[in-house]
Amino acid sequence: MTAVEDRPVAEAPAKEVGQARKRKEDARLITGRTTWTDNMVLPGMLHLAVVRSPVAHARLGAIDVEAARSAPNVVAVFTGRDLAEEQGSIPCAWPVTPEMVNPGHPSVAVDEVNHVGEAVAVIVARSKAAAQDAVELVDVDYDPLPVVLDMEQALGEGTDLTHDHLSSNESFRWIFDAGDAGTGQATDQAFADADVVVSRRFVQQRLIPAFMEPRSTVVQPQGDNYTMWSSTQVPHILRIMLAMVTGIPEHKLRVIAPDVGGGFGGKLQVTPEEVISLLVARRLGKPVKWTETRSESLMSAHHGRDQIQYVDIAADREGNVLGLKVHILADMGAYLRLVSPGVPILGAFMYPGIYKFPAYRFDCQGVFTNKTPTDAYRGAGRPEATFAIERIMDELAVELGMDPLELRRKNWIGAGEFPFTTVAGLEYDSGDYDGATEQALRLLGYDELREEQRRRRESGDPVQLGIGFSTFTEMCGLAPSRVLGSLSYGAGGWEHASIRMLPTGKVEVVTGSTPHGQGHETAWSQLVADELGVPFEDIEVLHGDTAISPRGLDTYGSRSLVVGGAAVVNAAQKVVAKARTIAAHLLEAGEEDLQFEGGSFSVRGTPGTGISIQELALATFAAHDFPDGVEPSLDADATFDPVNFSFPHGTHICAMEVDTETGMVRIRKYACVDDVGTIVNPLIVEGQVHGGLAQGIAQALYEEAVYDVDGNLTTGTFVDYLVPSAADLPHFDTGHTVHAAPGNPIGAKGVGEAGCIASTPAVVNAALDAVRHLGVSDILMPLTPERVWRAIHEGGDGGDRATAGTNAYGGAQTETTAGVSTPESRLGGDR
Amino acid sequence: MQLENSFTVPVPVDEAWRVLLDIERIAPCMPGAALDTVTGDEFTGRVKVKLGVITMTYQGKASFVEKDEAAHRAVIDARGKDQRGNGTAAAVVTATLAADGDRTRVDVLTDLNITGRPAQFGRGVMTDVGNKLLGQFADKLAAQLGEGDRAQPVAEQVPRPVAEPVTDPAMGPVADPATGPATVPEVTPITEVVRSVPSIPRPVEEPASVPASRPGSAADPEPINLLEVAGGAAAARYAGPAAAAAVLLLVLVFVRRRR
Amino acid sequence: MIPVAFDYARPSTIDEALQALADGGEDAKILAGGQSLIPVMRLRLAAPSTVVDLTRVAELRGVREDGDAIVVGAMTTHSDVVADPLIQQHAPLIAEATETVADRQVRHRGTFGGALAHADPAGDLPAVALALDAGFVIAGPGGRRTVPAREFFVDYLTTALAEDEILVEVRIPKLAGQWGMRYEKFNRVAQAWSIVAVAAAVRRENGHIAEARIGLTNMGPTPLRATATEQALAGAAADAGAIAEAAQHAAEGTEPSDDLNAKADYRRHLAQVLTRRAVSAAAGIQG
Repeated sequence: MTAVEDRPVAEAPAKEVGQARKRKEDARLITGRTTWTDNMVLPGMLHLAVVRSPVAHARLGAIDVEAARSAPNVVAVFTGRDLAEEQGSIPCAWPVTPEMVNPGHPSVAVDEVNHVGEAVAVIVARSKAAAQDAVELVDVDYDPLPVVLDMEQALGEGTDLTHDHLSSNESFRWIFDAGDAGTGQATDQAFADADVVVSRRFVQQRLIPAFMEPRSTVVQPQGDNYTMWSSTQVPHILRIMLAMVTGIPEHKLRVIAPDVGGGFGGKLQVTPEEVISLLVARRLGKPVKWTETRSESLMSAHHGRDQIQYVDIAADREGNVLGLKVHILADMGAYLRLVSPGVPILGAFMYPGIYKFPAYRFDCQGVFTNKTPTDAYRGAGRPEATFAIERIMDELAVELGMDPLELRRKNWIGAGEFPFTTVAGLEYDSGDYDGATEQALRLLGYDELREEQRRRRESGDPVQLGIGFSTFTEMCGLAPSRVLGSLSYGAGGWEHASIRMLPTGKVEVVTGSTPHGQGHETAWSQLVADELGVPFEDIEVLHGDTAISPRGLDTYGSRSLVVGGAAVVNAAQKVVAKARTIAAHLLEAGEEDLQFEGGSFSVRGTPGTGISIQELALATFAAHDFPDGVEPSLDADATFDPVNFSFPHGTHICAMEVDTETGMVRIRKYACVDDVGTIVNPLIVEGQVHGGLAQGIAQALYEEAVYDVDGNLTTGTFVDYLVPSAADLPHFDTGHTVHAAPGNPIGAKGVGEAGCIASTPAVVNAALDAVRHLGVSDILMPLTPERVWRAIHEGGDGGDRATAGTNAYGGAQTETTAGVSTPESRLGGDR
Repeated sequence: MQLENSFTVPVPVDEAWRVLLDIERIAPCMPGAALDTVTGDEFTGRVKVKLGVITMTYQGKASFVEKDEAAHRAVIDARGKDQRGNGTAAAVVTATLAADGDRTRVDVLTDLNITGRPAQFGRGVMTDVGNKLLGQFADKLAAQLGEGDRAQPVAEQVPRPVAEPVTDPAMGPVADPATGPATVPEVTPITEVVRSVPSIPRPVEEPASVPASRPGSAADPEPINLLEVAGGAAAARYAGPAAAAAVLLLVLVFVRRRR
Repeated sequence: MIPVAFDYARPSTIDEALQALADGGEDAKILAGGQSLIPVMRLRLAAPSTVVDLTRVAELRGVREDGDAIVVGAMTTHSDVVADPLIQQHAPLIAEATETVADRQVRHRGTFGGALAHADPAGDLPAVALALDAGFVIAGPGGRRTVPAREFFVDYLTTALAEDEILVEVRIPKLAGQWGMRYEKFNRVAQAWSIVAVAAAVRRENGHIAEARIGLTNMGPTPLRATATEQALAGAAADAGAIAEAAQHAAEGTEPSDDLNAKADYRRHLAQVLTRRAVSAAAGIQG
C-alpha cells in the first residue's frame, strides 16, 4: 500500500458531460449527406398524391375519378368509399374523459369533409409528376354545409354543427378543482374573501409547427411484411397504432424514422397519409411514396395552440395571491388526433406557475370546429399555461399598483421550500427562482433600461420602451407512467436503451427515444463515454428503427435526456457491472477489490494491472477465458420510468421598443437564465434555448394561422404565415443556474421546450409595459404593427386581421371578416 | 363574403323584371366568359382569367333557384371549379326589384364563397376584384335595365357556325331536353382568342331561338380583363385568381337563358 | 409542387428570345430570375405552355453609363445592382431599395428587370423606378420603344409590355445637383414584401428643398408618386415642420387595399409617417 493511490491519470479522458461538443450528426445533416425519407428510391416504387378538399364543411357527392384513372402513368385512384372498409379511424390515444366525444377520423373522407385540406382521394402513379397532374382531373361534388369556426359561438345555443352526426360541438369537459382534489382550498371562497379580483380573456392564436422537412412516407411490402419509412417523431408509437388501425400484425410491421428534419410536435402523430400509404401498398403490393408539398403541410399537418383562456386571479391588497380560476376553450379542429384532447390537459397543472396559490380551479372544454385538427406543438399546453399566469400576474400588478417583479417575488416558492407541492398537486423538484431572476436582471442591464424607459416616457419619445418578465416553470420529462395512467393517456412514459459492446471495443448505444434534430447521438455519446470511459468517437447511437430499437416511446415533451438519457446511463452502469465480473476473473481479484476509472478496471494498490472495458469486450467476444456460469455478453439494457416530472424553470426578461407612430415593435434586449438541471452539452442547450426563443417570440410577434369566414386557411404559404429568420430576432443573452433534478441519474430537467414556453409572455408583457401609460391593457397575438398601432390610437386589443379586402366601388358594401373574431375580442381583452 | 350593389333605373318595375330575367340581355353586362350549354334554367360556362403571370380557368354551372314574380325577386345559385383543381367558387345572388314611382330600385346581394388556393393568401384580392366586377356589372346592368323593353341585345356578334354535336372531353355530353342529343362546343386552341391582354371584354350573345349548343371559338373563354376588373385592387401576389371565381360566378349567373 | 409540363426555350440573344416568345404563342412566359414565376408555376396558378429563359442572353446583363443616364440591363441580378459602382454613384436609392429585397438567395437570382416587369405594387423597385423617372426600353417584333415609368406600370401585375415584347433595359437619368435619397421600407420580417414603403429623392438648394420625388410602394394597384407632397415640398424650407406638414398629404390619391398585414386606413397612416421619415432623411435633417 502506498500513500498515493495509483491512477492511470495520463489515459483518463476529460469528463464528457458538460463539454460543448459539436454535434456528431451535423456534418451529414447540414450537407445533406443523409437519407431523408423523400430521398428513398425503391425498385418499382409508385408515387401518391392526395386530392384535398378545398371546402371546410360539405357532404361529399359524386366523386368522378375516371379521367384521373385513365391519365398517363396513373395506376390507381382511391376514394374514401374505396377504403372505407379497411381504413378505420385515425387513433386518439388520449380520451381525457370517459364521456369524451370522438367523431371518428377517416384517413380519406367518406361521406363528409370537415376541414379544408382533408383528403378526399388518393392518386397512385408511376411518377410524382403524373400523380400531381392527375389530382387536377378528379372531379368532386361538394354539397356545402354550414361552417363552424368560432369556439365561443360553437358552444352557444342553436349553433351549427361541425359534425352533422353529433349533437353538439363540445368534445369533452375536463375539470380539476384543487378543493375537490384536496390539494387546495375552496376556490369560490378564496375569491369571495379576496380584496382584488382581476379577470382577463386571453387568446392563444392558432399556430403551425412548420417543421423544416415536409412529411414524407415510404412503404415497402414484402410478402406479408411491411416496412414503413416516415418522417416521424414517433416510429414506435406509429407502429403500434398502425397495427391497431390496419390490422397488420405488429410483428409484421417495421417502422423506420431515418434522419428527420424537425417536428416540434408536428410529427408526433399518426397521420392520414401514413395510413393511406400503408393501405395502398397493401392493396397494390408495391412500394409507394408520399411526400407533401409545403402548402399541403401548412394546410393539413396538425396545428397547435388555439385556445381562448378566461383567467381570474384573486389577491389581497398587499399582493398575496389567494386563488386562480382558469376556464379554457381548446379548439380541437375537426377531429381528434393522437393526443389532441390531452394538449390542454398537459397545461392544466401548470397554470399556478411558480406561485403559492392556496386555491385553484381549472375547467377546460374541447371544442370542434371546421379547421385542421390541433395537436402537440412545442410546449403543448404548458406555453398556454405559462402565458396565462405570467400575463395575469402583470395585470394584477397593475391593478394593485405594484411592481410586477415585486408581486412575483412576494408569491413565488422560496429556494428553501423545495420539494414543494403545488396547489395543483405537483411536486416541484428543485430550483431557485430568486437566483435566476437576479442573474437575468444583471444580464439585461435592468436598472439602466428602466431609467431609459423613464426618460422616454417623460420626453414623450415616439419610441417607447417596456420591460416584460416571465418567471416560469414547466413540467418536463414526460412522463411517469402511473401519472399518465391517472390522466387516461393510452401509453406509458418510460424509455428504453440498450448498449452493445462490440468485439473491437466500439460501442453501440440503442435508444428508444428517436431524435428529429435534437442531437441525441452527441449527447448520448457523451453520457456513455463518461459511464464506460471509452472515447466519444468510439460510440455510435442507433435509433429510429423498430427492428434495431425495438422498444421506445420516442421524442416529445422534453423527455429524451431526462427519461431516455437516464435509461442509457442505467444500461451503461449495467454494462460496467457485468464487465466488473469478467475483469475480476481475468485480473484474478475479487470484484470488491477492483476500481473502475477512465474506462479501466484495476486492482486497488496494484499498479499496472488494469484492463480496459474495451479489452474486456474482445475477451467477452472470444469467451475463451470466462468465469463459470457467466454468460459471455457485456450487453445490457435498461428501461427507465420516472417517478416524477422534472421542473426546469427560469427568468426571461424582454426589453421592447414600440414605435408609437407605426406600431412596429422591436426587441431591444432579451435576457434569460434557465435552470434545466445538469447540462450535458452546453452547445446543444444553447441551441435549444435559441430555437425555443425563436418560436416563442414568433408566437408573440409573427405567427398566426388565419381562417376566413368560409374556413379557408388564408395563411397558406410562408408569404403569409410568417416564420421569423435569424435576421428578425435579437441577440439573446443567456445564462444558467444549475439545480440538478433529483429524479434521474443525470440530474437533467429537459430543455427542448423551455425557451418556447417562457418567452411569449415576456415579449407581450414588455410591449404592454411600453404602452400601458397610453391606455393599452392588452394586444392580441401576434403583435402585428397594425394591432399595436390600433391599440394605441383606437383603444382595444388591436382587433382581428383582415382576411379579405374592401374596395368601395359605387354603392358596393363589403363585410370584412376574420375567422375567429368575436365581439369580446374587441373589448380590450376584458370579459 | 357578401357584396351589395344598389341602383335605380328609370323604367317601371315590371319592365325591369322582364329584362332581368332575359339572360340574353343581361349576359353582355358581364365582362368576358363563354357559355357552353343551356338546359332549361341551367347554364354551364367557362371563364379564363389572366392576371400578370397567373392564369386560371373556371368552369361551372348556374341556375335560377327562385323567380318570385310577386316580390320581384330572383335568386340564382352558381358554382364553378378551377380546371386545375385549385378550388371552387360558389355564389348565391339575390336580385330584388322595388317600384319607386315610375322607376325601379334594384338591389343585388351576392354571397360569394371562394375556396382553394386563391383563398389561401393573405394579400387577398378577391373582395377587391369581386367588388369592382360587381360594380362594373351593376353599371352596365343599370344601363340595360334602363333601356327597358326598347332595347335589343347589344352584344358583339360572334361567328356562329351551325350547331353540331361535339363532345367536350372536359365536360362530357350534356343532354338537353330541348335539342335532343348532348351538344357541347368543341374547344379550339386558346391562342387566337385570347391573344391580347389586356383584352376587351367580349360578351356572349345569341338570339333566343338558337339552340343551346355553342360552337367553335365562341365557346372559348375570353380572358377577363384584369386591367379593368382588378384595377384598384392592390392584391395578393398570388391571389389574383380569386378574381376568376368572382368573374365566373357573375358570368354564370347572368349567362343567357333560353326561353 | 410540380408545375404543369411546359416547353422550354433558352435563347442567347434578344432576337432569338423575341422569336421564341412569338413561337411560344399565347401562353409563353418569360423567365428572368424566376423568383416570382417559378413559385406561381409550382402552385399551378400559372401553367405557361412555353417558358423562355433569358438567363443566357448576355446582352441583357450589366450596368453602363450612357450620356446623362445610367442603363441597367434587365437581367442584371439584384446583388449585381447593389454592388455596382455606377448605381452607388448616381442612383444610391436603387441600391438601398434593392438591398431590402427579400433575402440574399433571392437577390442572387432575382433580376432588376424581372422585378419591374412583374409589377407587383408591393415590390420595392417599381416605386423607386417611378420616383427616379426611369425609362423602360422595350424590344418587340417591330423594334424598340422607350416607355416612361409613369406609363409603364398600368395596373396590378400589369405593365405596358405586350405579350410579344421583352423589357431590355432601364434608363435611369442621372440627377444633377445636391440630391439626397432614402428608401423607407416597412415590413414585418426581413424577407417579407413591404406593407408600405416610401422612396424619396430630395434636392436641396440654399437651405430649401428645391425638388422632391416620392414613390410609394403598395399604396395602390401600381406604384404611385406622392404628388401632393412633392408639390408641397417644392421650395419649402428644409426643416422638420415643413416636411411633416407636406407628408400629411402623402396618401392623397392612393387606393391601398385591406389585407392580413394592414387595412387601408393604416396603410394611409403609414404612408404619411414613412414619407416624413424618408424625406427628412433624404434632406439630411432630423425627422
